[in-house]
Amino acid sequence: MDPYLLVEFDSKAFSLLAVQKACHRFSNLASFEVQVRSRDGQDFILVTALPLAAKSESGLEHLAKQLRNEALDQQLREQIRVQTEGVRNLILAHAFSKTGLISPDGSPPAA
Amino acid sequence: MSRFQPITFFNRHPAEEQAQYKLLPFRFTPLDDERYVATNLAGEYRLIEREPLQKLVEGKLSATDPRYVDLRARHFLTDVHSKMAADLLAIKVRTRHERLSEWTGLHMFVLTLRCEHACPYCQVSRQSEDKESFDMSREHATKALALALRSPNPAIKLEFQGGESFLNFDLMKFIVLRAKEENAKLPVPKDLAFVAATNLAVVTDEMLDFCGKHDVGISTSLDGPRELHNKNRPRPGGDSYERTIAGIQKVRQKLGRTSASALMTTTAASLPHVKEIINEYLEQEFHGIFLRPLSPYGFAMKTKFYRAYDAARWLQFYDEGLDYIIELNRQGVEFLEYYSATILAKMLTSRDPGYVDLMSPAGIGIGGVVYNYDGTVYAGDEARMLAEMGDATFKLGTVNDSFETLFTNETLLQALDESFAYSAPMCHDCAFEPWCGADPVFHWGQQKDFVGRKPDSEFCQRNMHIFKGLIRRMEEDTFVRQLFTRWANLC
Amino acid sequence: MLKLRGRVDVVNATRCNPSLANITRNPKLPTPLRRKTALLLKGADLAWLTPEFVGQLRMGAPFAALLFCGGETELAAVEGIARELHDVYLLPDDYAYLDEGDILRLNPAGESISSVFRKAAPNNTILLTERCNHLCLMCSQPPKSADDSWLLDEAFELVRMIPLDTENIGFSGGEPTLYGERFIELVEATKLALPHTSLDILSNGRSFKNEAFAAKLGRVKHPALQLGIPVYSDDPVRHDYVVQAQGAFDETIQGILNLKRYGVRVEIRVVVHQQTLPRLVQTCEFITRNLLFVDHVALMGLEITGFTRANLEILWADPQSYRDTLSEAIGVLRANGMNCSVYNHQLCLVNKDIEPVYRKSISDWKNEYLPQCDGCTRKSDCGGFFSTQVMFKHSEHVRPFQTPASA
Repeated sequence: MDPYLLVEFDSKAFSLLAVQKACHRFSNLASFEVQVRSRDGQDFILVTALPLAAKSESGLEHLAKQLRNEALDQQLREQIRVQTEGVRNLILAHAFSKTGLISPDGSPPAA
Repeated sequence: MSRFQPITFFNRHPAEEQAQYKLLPFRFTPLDDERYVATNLAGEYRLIEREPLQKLVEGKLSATDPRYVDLRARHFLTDVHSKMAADLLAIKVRTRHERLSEWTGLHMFVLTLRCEHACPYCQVSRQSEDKESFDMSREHATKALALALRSPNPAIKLEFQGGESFLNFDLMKFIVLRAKEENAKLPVPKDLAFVAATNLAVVTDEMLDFCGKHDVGISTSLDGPRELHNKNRPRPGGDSYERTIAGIQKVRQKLGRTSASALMTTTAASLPHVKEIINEYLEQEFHGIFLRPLSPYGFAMKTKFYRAYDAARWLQFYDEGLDYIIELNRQGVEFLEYYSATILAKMLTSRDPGYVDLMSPAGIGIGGVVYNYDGTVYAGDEARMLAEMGDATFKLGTVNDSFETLFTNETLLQALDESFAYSAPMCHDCAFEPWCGADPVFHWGQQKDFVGRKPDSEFCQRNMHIFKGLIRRMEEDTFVRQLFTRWANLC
Repeated sequence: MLKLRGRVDVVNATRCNPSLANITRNPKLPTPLRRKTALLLKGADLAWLTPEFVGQLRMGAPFAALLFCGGETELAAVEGIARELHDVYLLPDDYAYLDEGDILRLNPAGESISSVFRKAAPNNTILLTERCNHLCLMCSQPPKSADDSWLLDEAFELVRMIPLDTENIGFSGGEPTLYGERFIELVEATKLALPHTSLDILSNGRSFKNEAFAAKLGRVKHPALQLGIPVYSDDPVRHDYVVQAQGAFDETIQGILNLKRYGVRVEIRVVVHQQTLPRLVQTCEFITRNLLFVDHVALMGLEITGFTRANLEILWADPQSYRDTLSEAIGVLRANGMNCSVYNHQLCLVNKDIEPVYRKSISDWKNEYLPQCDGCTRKSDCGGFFSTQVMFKHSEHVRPFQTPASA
């Protein structure tokens, strides 16, 4: 079998969505399978990555590192977006306030 | 006698006891090994060393610490002695964001792609003179103008670009006259400003007379001394510099002493010569220079010009230039560096200079919009340059679309929402966030991501380097601090 | 220093209540105007008092008062004549500055007079009360607690007597806004009585923490009103200490914000002394960051009067010692584009960079020069000293300029 990569993510630290987004970022380099598994009553997310082009051992290791970083990034993005939703909506609504594009309930045009 | 109480009477923190205070929202980022830059909610900064910072955060800062009074006065902490912090911070934060609702102020019209220069770094794919299908039509111009006037902004700047904008002078005239007409019909007419970006090589007396009569400002390119300029900006005859200088003099004669402004473009050839470039601007009697970073678009990208030097090398160029300009000022020569001045306005005042590349929410659409020669509408100059490279992500539509359609464009809204700096990892915690911006076009171009991973982002690296550098210079030298404060209030 | 008020001999008073009177030097003033006007005879004019002249005075329509002003001998000579007339005030020649067009308060029962308006003065300030809710360490008008609202009542009358072409008047105290609604009414009355006269009001601004009160003042829409409000430090503890009132800082700042919200011009005043100097620069920085919208900032020198003398040891700082701090403070304000001025300092004691904002500001009735100022080439550009500085405390470093300003 061709060399492949297995990366585990602790379900308590990472949401499924964050991991999926991270994988998506590298979908030009590999094909990803994302599963939720259990071990000793603890859930974890298992990512299997099959490189699209041949990769060396160090190349695979590099991909793993990048994937972990990206998952962290996506996880943080999610959390911070939720935390800052109020401020963000307020300021965007203010920006749009004189354009005539705001809906009656005051929210900015939805993305 | 004393019916007068000593100062200790008014201090409700008994000296022996621990100070009781609450932290106000603030962020901190390292400046160097010993000191942090801390910024409060309104983006006002103060330097603080690690140990007192730690004490501050743990609630253990002593009221007798000389920093305590300062931190309270500057709204980093609050205690029983005053409740004004919230109101004052609110005013400052509101002031910073006030201009956002004015909406698009800068409207760029690409009158033609034709140009007789052949600058390798050109971010516009220019065509040579005889291809008139690269001119904007009157029909498109009329519709674009209507869209521009639809913006709620009480002040609108119409900027004519190209190619070489004066090669389509007839259309420029048409737009200026029609703009004034249509503006006068508005219930509340706007403040209109016009500026033409031009290489001055083809400008005639008739054209300048028109500009004088209708207050069209002139912005030209001056890359440096003759050899450097002509090397950067070839044209048939190799006399771009001579024509530019002659043009500047003519503009000043006809339109006034301060009527011509100039921009430089930095190339690999420019990098060792920042002092010479500044000296050239001095010699040509300009009162300042804008040390612009090279953006990674257009021919620059295609010809690998951008990769000819990287962010770090440009920062050296910038630092050398800024330090030289500071020395000039120390000698009594009043000369400004506009890029720094714009950033300093954000650092030292609550005003918003409205600089499109350094705004959060991003300046795309909100700050500036481009109406291209072919009637397409882009969310800014960067957006159009990205399209020239084959990526039309930030195309809003065409001039046939309504204002509503253009500005509720899904990509625009998504990019504004996602790139919002306060919601981005790293930016969220960064002390410099109030001064910085979101650049979704740049990050999309580089990383295919509106937000960008800031550790990888040259936008982030450049800005951090500049913020820290400006702070360091101010902290080391009162003269520089006062000079920078004056600059911050000029924009 | 001019003597503005004091006890005088009053002969044959026909009334006892205090009243205001215009001053004239014209014995033939038309009859309808005499009721509210006092005739002033000073110095050589006293020779007019021939029996014939006195006869005309007795028979003609009476003036509100007759003011005989002169030296001891001159007054002694006319004392007999005074007894033949009514409502005669014998003024020592301290009062020789009085002239046509001035306004005087006559207090027959108290046997005193008070100059309340001088035509020749560039600025006239009307005292509205001596009551105050502060006790500033350097107060030049130490507060009293007695009800003196008669001063307010009189002010309503006074503004209607002051000539229409007067350029500027001021209201001060104590704390004028302690009168609440009546204070607003006075401002409204002044707007109607002197529509072309600018009005400067000194106040600690605390009453305006009440937004409705600030709105009321804004609604008067006085065409040229400015409130001068002290902020002594960016440190609330230090500000409260200087004004000796807990919680003053917050209320003053809130007052300033409200006043600006309702379109009232505000000037921030900082008196420069030992207690404000440690944070003078930081205070100016605070103003530029938080109060950028105020209309003017004044940095002022210390007057050695009132409480200042009692607290001299903790207040006095030689301007020579703080010239650079003053320069830095003004530098901060100017770099941020704020209008600012330096008042009550001497030209030889400030750095050159102060000169664009230096004002000759000491009131004409209390300014003087020192002997070492003789021969100073820039004396006419300099505001000189407070008389009280000359008398009690001034810099050790006053030196005349040898060369003119352009050098």
